[in-house]
Amino acid sequence: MDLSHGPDDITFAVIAGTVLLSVLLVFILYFIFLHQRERQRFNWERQQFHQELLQTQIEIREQTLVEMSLELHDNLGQIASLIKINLNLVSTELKEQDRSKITDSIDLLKQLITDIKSMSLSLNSERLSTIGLIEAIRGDFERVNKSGQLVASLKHTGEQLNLDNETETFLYRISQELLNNSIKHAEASKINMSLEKKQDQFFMRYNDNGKGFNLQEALIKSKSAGLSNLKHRCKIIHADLDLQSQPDKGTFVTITLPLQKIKA
Amino acid sequence: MTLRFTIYIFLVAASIPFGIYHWKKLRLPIKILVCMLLIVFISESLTRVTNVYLKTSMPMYHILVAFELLLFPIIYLSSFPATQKYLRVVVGIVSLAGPFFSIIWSTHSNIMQTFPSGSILLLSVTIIACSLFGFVFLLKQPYLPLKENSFFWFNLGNLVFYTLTFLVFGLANPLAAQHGGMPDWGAEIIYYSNLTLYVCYFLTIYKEAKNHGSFART
Repeated sequence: MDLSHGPDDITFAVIAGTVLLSVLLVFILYFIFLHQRERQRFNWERQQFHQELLQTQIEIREQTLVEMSLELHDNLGQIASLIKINLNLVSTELKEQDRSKITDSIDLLKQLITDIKSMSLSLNSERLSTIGLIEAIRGDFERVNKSGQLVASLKHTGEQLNLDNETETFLYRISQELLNNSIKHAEASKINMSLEKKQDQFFMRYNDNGKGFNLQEALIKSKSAGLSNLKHRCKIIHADLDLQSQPDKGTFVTITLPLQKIKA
Repeated sequence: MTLRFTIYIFLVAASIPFGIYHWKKLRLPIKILVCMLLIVFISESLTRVTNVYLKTSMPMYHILVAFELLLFPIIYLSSFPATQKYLRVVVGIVSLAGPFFSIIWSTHSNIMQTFPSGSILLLSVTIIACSLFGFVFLLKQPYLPLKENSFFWFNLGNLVFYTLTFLVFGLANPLAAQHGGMPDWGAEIIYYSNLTLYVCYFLTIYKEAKNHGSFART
């Protein structure tokens, strides 16, 4: 580089060049900083929007379940009860040999009414506020035990839960999803669940002895609606989901809920 | 052909086949950019011929700058948001007035034999102003990281090169008056910033082809 020019010119050129380059550099760096800030704001807003969307979806689903529950209880349950009363009346007018068939039908109807009631109860999350999460899950487990499909056991340790109604609803639906998966897909014969509140954390631990699945494959395929539901519900209540499963080795799930986040 | 010129012409040429190969994926402003690079390549190649036969390459530069004064504002015009009506009108007027003044300047008093520094200064001011507006609009596109945004590379290359060009040509006259020509360091700055510019143009086309439609959405 030839710098053999007059000292004044060179000084002026160096000063002007340095100033301009500095301004250019500061401008570019400041622009990158501003863009980065805008990008963070945009990502935060998108995350909030996604969260709200998920919450709305869950609320709509919950509302639908409550309506179904009321429909089952008020309509189908009532109709089944009326049929039972009618059959009882009819059976009194029949001969002894014909009455046995009606009695069998009445027994079946009784079973149907019981099932409708328990299904109505398990769909209705509003009763959680009166009976609490543990009793609601216990009710579901008892129903499954009675059906003889599998042996389900529930254990509660630590302090009283005292969770808000919304969080209890989410946890209840999560427990139902897990139970449903064990029955429908895992073909398990035994399941265990434990609920524990320790200081500022709540733990829901669940395991079954079913046929398990390849977790990586399930995550890549993203076809599992159950797994997706679990993830969404956990995300909304800011809970950590740890799911371990291998073919023929059952499934282990641990949900850790930091209670401070709920208060916040 | 010197090594410096070979490197330079290679960088200019590199973007053209890449742009043509991905032509369908490119939006209008980038297609214009590819056409402009083709014009630059032809023009720079012809300067070697005119240097031999006419002993000067200056007329080629006058023609090239007139083309650039027309095409750059059109690229920005088709990139700025449709809502910015006044800005688009101003840039539209510049895209017509720029080449007009450049041609008047170039044909005036046999100035074709000298370097088109006046037109280049006009081009620099136009592009610096457009690229500054471009940066403002980039702030309204936070959904794409900067390094993936083709418009960012286009703006960055333009701002750096034309600011330095403006500086060097602004200082060139007083220096040339005393020393009889542009100092070597000025030519070095222009050369290396020019290489940076064409690398940025290549990145613009590459990122546009990769992230289809990332160039300033209107």
